[in-house]
Amino acid sequence: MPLRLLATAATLLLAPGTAQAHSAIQGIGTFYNGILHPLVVPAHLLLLLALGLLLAQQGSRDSQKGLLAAVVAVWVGLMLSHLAKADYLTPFILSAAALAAVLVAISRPLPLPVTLLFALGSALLVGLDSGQDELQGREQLTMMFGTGVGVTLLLLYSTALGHLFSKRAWQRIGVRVVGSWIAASSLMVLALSLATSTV
Amino acid sequence: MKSLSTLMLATAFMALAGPAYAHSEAGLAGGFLSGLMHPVFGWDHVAAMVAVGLWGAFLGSPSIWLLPIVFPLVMAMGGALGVLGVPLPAVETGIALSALVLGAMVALAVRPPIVVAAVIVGAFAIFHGHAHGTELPHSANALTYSIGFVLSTGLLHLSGILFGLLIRIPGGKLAVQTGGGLIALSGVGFLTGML
Repeated sequence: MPLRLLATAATLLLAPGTAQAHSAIQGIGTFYNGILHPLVVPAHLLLLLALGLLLAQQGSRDSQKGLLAAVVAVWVGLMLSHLAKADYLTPFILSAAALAAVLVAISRPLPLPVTLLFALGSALLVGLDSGQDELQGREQLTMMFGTGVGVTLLLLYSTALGHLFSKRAWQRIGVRVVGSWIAASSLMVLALSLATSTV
Repeated sequence: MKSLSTLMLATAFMALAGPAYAHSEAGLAGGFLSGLMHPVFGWDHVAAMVAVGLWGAFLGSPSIWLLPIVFPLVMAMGGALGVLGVPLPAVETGIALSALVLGAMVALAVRPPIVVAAVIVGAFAIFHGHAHGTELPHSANALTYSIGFVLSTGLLHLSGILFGLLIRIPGGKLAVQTGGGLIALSGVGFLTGML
C-alpha cells in the first residue's frame, strides 16, 4: 500500500505543468534580465530564500560549506539546463522550498551531510530550471551567466540575512515565522500544481 | 431650451465622473496584490487573525511566536484541501466560530497549556486555509497570490500581537480583554448573519 501511494505521488509530481515562459523584461538588457531571473520566478525566490535562511541556522562552518555546495550546484545546474525539461521541475522546486521552510520554522540543527545534500539538490534544481531555451548563442550564454550571478547573490544575501537575524531571540523567532510563511505559500501552490498541473 | 438642459446635464455628469484607473494589475503583481488584499477585505478573517495575535501576546512566550507559526502551516494544509477540492463542511461557520472562540479566549483571559492553544488555533486555521485555497485557482498568479495572502495573514497576526503587548502597561490588560470581547461579539455577528 505505501508503495502504491509512493508511486501515485511520484506520478503526480512528474505530471507536466505548463511551461513557464519566465519572460524577459524589455529594455533592460540580457545580462540584467538574467540577474533578475530568480527574483521574477516566485518558486525560485521562495526556495533560495528558505535555503539561505536554513543554511544560516546551521552555524558558521556548516553554513559556509552548504553555501559553497549550493553555489557550485547552481552553476552546474545551469550548464546542464539544456538537458532538463523545465516543465517537470516546478513541483520539485516547490517541494524543496516547503521542506526547507518547514525546517527553518522548526529550527533544529541538521547533520552536515544532510545540509550539504539538501543544498546541492535544491540549488541544482534551480539551476536546471533556469535554462533559456528560447535564446540562442551568445545571448543565451549572457542570460545564463546573469542568472548564475543573480542566484549566487540571492543565496549570499539570504544566508547573510539569516546570520544577521540570529543574534537576539526575537530575531530568530522572526526568521522562523518567515519560514512558516514560505512553507505555507509553497505547500498551497504545490497542492494546486498537483491538482491542475498548471502552476 | 431642451438642448441647453441636455448640455447642462451632460456637463454635470462629466463633473461627476471619477478617475479612470489605468494601472490594472496582472500576472505576478496582480496575483500578489489580490492575495494581499483577500484576507483584509474579509471581516471574519481579519477578526480571527487579529485574535490569534492578541491571544499569543496575552499568553506570553512561547505562545506569542508559536501560534503565528502554527497558524500558517496548518492553514496551508487546509488550503491544500480546498485546492484539491476536498469538501470541508461548514467552512464559513468555522471561520465565524474562530472569531467567537478566539476572541472569547482573550476576553476571558483563558490560559490553557500551549499544546491546547496550538490545537485550537490550528483547528480554526484549517477553515481559513480551505476558504483561501478554494479562491486560489481563480487568481491571476497562484504562487504570488499565496505569497500575498500568507504575508497579509502574518501582518494581521502582528497587528494583534502589537495590540496585545499593551498588557505590559497599566490598564492595558483591560484594553486587550475588551478587544477580545469585541472580536467575540463580531463572531456572534458573523454566525447570526448580522455582520
